[in-house]
Amino acid sequence: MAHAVFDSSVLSDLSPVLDGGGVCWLDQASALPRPLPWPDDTLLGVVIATAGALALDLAPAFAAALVRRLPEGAICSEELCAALQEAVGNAVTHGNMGLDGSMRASLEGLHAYSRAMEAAKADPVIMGLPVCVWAERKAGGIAVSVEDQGAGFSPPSSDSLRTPVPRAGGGMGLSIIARSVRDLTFTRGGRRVTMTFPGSA
Amino acid sequence: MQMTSRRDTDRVEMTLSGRLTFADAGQFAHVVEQATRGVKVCTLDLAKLEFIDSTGMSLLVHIYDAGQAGGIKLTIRNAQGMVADTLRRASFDSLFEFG
Repeated sequence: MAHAVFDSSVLSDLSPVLDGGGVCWLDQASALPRPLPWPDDTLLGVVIATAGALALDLAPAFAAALVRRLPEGAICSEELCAALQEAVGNAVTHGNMGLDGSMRASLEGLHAYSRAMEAAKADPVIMGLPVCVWAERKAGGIAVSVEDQGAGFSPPSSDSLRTPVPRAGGGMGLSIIARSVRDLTFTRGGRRVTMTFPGSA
Repeated sequence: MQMTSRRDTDRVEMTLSGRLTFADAGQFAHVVEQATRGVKVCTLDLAKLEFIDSTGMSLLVHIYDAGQAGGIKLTIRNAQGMVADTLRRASFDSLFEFG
């Protein structure tokens, strides 16, 4: 499989890169996972540095590029974009940056979270950790996976994810994902989330 | 996300624009203070907010919590499209007055 490269550190918009006709994109600003996590028949794959995923709007750019590669109406772009945004956010902040969302449950904790986030953003090793996103065809739909290099986590039961409740300390994101997908699986100790979207592809 | 605020004695109007996402979380403590410190009425104008994710929604929960603690009247106005739909689906209309 051919791979193309880009440099997230000099971009202000990821969309022109992903619209460039390549299938799999590797960020020069990122450490590269070995082996790359996606299969040979990947529809679209991106490795991007954590810093790039913070600075650029990865989810809408990836979703739009994927939708353009599929037959019209093959997937709901709004559901894809909403779920992918949450998965990328989790991979970046809770995964690679190691930030605990429950810190945000109080205003005092929110200050601590802000400080921890700034400290992580100043760490070049953390900012170079890769986030991998790729899409592949599955029976009756499209599977989109997001993988980070963090410590992993134990996902909650699917039943507890179905009803999002407004709260400050996290948890809404997984509910938004669960509501948007047909199937949701966590592997690699919670470092990889695979979201299968219903579709006709 | 970009934020502007206009303060008039004990009232503040905050305008949030762009995309309010996990990438902005480092600013949230500052935004909560801007929205709630020393005010009795806080209006959040979301007319130019194009997208909000769950981390962005958590900012609004913090503003709500601080507002409850401080007896502040909170209103969200001009939420559009995806932002309005997302906030209503997540029951934010049970927390804020929507104008």
